[in-house]
Amino acid sequence: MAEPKPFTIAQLFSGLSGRTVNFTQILKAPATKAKQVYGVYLVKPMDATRVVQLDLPLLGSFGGALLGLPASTVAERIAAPTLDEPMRDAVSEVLNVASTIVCIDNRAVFQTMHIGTEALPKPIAESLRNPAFRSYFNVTIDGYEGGSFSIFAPV
Amino acid sequence: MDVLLVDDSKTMRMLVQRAIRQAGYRSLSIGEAENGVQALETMQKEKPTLVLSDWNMPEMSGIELLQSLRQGGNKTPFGFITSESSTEIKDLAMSSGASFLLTKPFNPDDVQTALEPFLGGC
Repeated sequence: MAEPKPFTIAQLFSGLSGRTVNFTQILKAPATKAKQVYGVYLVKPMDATRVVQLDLPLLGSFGGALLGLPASTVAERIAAPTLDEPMRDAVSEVLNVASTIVCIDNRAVFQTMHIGTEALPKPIAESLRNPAFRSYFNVTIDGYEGGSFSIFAPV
Repeated sequence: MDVLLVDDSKTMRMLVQRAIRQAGYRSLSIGEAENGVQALETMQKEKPTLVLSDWNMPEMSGIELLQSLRQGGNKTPFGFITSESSTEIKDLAMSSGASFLLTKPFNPDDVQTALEPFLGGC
């Protein structure tokens, strides 16, 4: 499958957040200790699954930028046991817009968001252990906390 | 009502409203609905000049809303603001009677270009 280019992804997120965003592709899985968030997508017409995995602080940064929140407020909100409704809605919309770059050959439709590895449905969690395709990125966003961003095509 | 905004995301409804204001349309009356069903209910009482709708929504999608309106003889100008960007989706939107499809993310200039034919200059 055609690989999404870092510049293309960065353009999408810069346009969405109104901030300068940089994506740098890396070869190995990012070593991150942040809580993970998963966006699950359905790729049409073959009904294949595609998964985006990213650090919660990074996703919170994008959501916070959409809501016009300062970085310090974003950090407080994502540290809460559960995301409040405005932040949850904003980060869901970020994952929805990301459907454009999750699969550039076909149409991807955002399905569900899962916060924490333990919340990921078991079949998807198992399929991520040996995916058919993976792409890793380090991400920076001007004025907010960056983090890691990965795209997987489960077998 | 000048514009009916249909999107299941409250954040996106806020962002579209903000972009409309930033595009210079500061005095427009903007109504909101969370999905196609709510939009149909609203349009039984109100007659917006333009409908701006997301594509993927629970209950009733944007394309189902558009097709329902056109089948009922309603010719209100209708535009999509969506993350959908494939050619097949654009073709389906246009053949179903949409006036334009604006892809997320968008900026106020994009919104002004899309809205001007229906709402005039600002």
